[in-house]
Amino acid sequence: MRFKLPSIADAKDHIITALILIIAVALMIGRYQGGLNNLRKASITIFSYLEEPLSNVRVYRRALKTNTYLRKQNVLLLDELSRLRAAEQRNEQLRELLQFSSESNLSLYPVQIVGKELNQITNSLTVDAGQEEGITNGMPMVSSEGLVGKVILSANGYSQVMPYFNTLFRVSAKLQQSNAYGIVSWDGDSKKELQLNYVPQTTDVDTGEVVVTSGYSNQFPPDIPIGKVLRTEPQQGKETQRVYIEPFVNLFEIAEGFIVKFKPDTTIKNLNEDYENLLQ
Amino acid sequence: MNPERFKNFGIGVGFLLIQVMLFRHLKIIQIQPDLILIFLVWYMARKDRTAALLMAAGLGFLQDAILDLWGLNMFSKTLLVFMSYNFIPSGSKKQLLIGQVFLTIAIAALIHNLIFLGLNVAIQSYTGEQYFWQHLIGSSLYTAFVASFIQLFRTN
Repeated sequence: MRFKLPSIADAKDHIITALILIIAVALMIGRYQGGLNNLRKASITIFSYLEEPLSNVRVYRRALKTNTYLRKQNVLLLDELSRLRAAEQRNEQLRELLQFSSESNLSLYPVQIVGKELNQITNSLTVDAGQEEGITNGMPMVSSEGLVGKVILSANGYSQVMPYFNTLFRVSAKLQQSNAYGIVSWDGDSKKELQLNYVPQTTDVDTGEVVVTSGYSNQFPPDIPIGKVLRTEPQQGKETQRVYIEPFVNLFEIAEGFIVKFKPDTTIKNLNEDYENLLQ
Repeated sequence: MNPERFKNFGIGVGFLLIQVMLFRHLKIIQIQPDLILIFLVWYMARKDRTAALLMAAGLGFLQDAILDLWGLNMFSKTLLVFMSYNFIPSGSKKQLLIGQVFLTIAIAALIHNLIFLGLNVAIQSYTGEQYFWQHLIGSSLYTAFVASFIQLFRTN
């Protein structure tokens, strides 16, 4: 068997390929061993010259991406800001309630309003406390600003409150400076003002004067703020005047409050009954 | 270098510059085309193997120098030309269909990228100089020695 070596011309491509591959491998090794630093410096310089004209394209594309990202972040941050503002507002309201609760001598039970009907003549509120929590009919509801209404129906876990904006609502009240008393009610017309009736025309009433519960009716504790005087109107053919009051509590914005665990004094109640019987 | 070859090398450098300056910035989900490879396949179809090998080595070297890869493209492209030269339809006057062009370039690019990535992984693994030279020179010589020994006994 004869072994024939190929000629150089036949193996030319193989030899060239082998040489190129060896050079390539040597370059790779040299690059990793740090032997091509000068060449690399030169190549980086050339590359930077080539890159420079189109670097603005990359900057522009990056700016577009950054812009999209920032717009998303902006929406998220606005949402977060809105929620934080709402939380801050709620925090302030709860702080006011807490302060009112700690300063008040009344027995207060905190409640949250879970239902609100303020579109009709017979407006009502529903709160998340009922008989289980010791809430009974007739107990007043207050907030840190003043009187809200009174409980008219109490069930297990929930109670219905008649707010002052109800044509059936009545509370005995007095002007804080003159101590002239009357009955506060709502005529069903304006949702911005209440009326204090039966105040004699001889009583001087100033605008801005505070009206509070009198406690005379034995249904509400005394000195709960109701509102401030807006104006007065003399009643035709009567010796009394009608005092219009702007209530302190905004029923449309209120979310929490307290039920005052107030029970009418039975001694006064019995005395009144005895007096009525005596007159009969 | 004759004028024809010099002209073709200039075209190749032009492709390289377009690749580096333009197509590197037109990435789609971090993918970019390799214009040099397209040029080399075109060149293989028209020139002899030696010229194609030298062109691949030259352009690969320049690409490596610009991209600081040093040897990776040179190795991959040269090996690709060497292996695939006989499979590229050459000297035909008939124009290839677009599907044929796509398939040819796709297979060539796959082989090239396979070599490129394999070599990249290998070169990063074998950065220890002593082990590398032991493996490359020592193992190669030892294999050749064993082959010669077998050949010696076989003739006897």
